[in-house]
Amino acid sequence: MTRNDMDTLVQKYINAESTRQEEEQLKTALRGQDVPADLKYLSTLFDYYELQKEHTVVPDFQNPAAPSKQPNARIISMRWMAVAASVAILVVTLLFFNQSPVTAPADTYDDPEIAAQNAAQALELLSGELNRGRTLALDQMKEFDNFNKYLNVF
Amino acid sequence: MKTFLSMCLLIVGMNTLVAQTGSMDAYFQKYQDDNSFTVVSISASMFQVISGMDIENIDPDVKAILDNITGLKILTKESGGQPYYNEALTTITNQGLQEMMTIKEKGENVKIYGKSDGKEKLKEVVMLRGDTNNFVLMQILGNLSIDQLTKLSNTLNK
Repeated sequence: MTRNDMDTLVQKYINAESTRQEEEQLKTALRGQDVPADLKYLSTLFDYYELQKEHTVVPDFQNPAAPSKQPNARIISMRWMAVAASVAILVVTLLFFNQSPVTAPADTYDDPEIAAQNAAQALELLSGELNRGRTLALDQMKEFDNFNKYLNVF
Repeated sequence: MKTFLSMCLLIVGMNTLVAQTGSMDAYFQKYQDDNSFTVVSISASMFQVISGMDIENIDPDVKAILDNITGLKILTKESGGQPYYNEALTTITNQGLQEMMTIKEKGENVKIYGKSDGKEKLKEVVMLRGDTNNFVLMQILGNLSIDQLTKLSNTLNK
């Protein structure tokens, strides 16, 4: 590129009339080795632009147009609800079927009076046994007493 | 998940509350259809009817106990009862019942077990009696006091 061409390109660039292509041409020319001293300022300018390109990201930039992200909402999908429901039903039915065979056998007596008489008899049996145990224990105590007396004599 | 678990616990809890079962229910269940056994079963609802009634020829002491009973079951066998006695014995010892009395006399064994309600009363009394032939298993559920029962045995046996 001749010095003349370069000058016209620079002129155009400074007047903001150069096309993108011409700008690129100028850039590559200025990046070369033999840059005229009076155009050195342009090459440093281009270098500066080049450097600043790497820092174009503005930190903490929030685009108001972008859809805002929801804060972490608790979402329970219908599928899990279904699983929970089915488990619940299973547990309930299991309990139900487990329980039903434990139901007491049918009442032996329909007449409450007869039932009462029989219950009373059962209680008598129980109390009789309790009494027997007590008297047996008392007898044992007496024997023990006798033994003690016997020991005391000698 | 927390609510679900608590729901499950609630259901289980209700189940145990509703069904007031005795320790030996499974044993009764096993033999109640066997014809060689005699089974007597009086339910809580029947005892409710009894407690509301005025029965003439029953001792008032007995009636007082009957009013606090919510269930009675008796299982008896007239012959060859020894193995059943032993089986019931092992079942009872697995049920958290406390032994109250043991009688061993002339080849006859009697054992009385009780389950405390945490206070002074018993919510269950199980009596087991057996010799070489006979076998009796009795289960009483309710709110029973030892005092009442021994008082009864005094009045009836004197």
